[in-house]
Amino acid sequence: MRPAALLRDVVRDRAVAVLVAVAVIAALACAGLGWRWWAVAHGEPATTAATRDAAVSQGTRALDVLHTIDHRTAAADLDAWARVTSGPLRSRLTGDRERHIERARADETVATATVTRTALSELDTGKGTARLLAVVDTDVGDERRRSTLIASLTRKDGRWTVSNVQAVGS
Amino acid sequence: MTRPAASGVDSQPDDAVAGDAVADEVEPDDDPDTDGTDGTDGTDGTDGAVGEDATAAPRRGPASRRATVPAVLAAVCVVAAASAVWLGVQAGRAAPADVAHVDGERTRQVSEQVGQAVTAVFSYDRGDLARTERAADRMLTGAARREYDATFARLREQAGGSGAVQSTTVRSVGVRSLEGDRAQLLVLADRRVLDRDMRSRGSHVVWIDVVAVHADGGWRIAEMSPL
Repeated sequence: MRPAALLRDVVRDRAVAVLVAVAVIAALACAGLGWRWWAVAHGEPATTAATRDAAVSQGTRALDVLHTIDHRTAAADLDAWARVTSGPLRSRLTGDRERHIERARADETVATATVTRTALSELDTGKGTARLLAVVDTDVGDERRRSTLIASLTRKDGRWTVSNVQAVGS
Repeated sequence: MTRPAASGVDSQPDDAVAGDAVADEVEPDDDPDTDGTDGTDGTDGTDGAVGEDATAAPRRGPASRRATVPAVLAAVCVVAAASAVWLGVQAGRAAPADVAHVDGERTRQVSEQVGQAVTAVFSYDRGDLARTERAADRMLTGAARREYDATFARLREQAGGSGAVQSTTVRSVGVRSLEGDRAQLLVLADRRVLDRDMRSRGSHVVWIDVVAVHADGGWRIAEMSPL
């Protein structure tokens, strides 16, 4: 009885009635906008954009790794190469693993890479494949070499890996 | 003891009246016309203070609740309104601004048209420079147009110089971003120079950074620079 009486009392007050109305409207607006946010954030454009950004950033990172080798840590560097690759490129690299390590040690190679520019030319989110155009500058000793390439990316276990690389003569 | 506290909360005129009404109800013996309640407070304090407190507690309840309810409601309104605004902003931001490869049709259009533009403006036949210039008129704008004019003027001066025909083939176009009417692209092209008798005099690969803008129903190159 008391709460009901209090409620009647309170609502009789105009200022309180207005405040209640405003609070209800604001709460409804919150609910509506929150739902909209969820719908947009989980909509196809947003998920495709997230996939695209992941492909570009992970593909770029992979190319960076693939152009980096230090003869003192050659084995670990080759392991890193294997982690960022898949498919034919991975088979090729693991097949040539010993040769790569030997050559790096013989030449005392220290190569660090800068991925100067990348751009996606294709993206298939369903199949999990993409094609990335890339310009990579590699510092080998005092010398700077530029590689221009087209990398095929494949999504494997939720990560974008480089499955093939085609060097483009410059 | 209790009255000053209650009147402190009852700062609004309505509530002051309401407070008086409560006072009238509970203490009918008091003179209703008296504005100053100090007299009664004084008696409250001196006379049976403990006995009065027991009845004062329920009396204070509704009055202070009346003040608390609007305050809480106002706070709820402010919080809810602020949340609504924040959620609205988030909902607006959740849609990607950059639709490169998200809007497939638009991505295809911009890469196709920019590819055609690069092919057209970087291919020329010294015998028919006017054709390339017309293409430049159609497909270039802004800074790209001005720079191209300067290059083209030089080309015209050395007419009959090296290479009769230059042909450019776009191999691949990457769309780096596509926001509104502006896109950033990376174009990979082969440039081949041919002799008068169509013998190749060598070719090389060029990478061109392009900024394209959408105007009059088509994409035009606004800025371009070789990488």
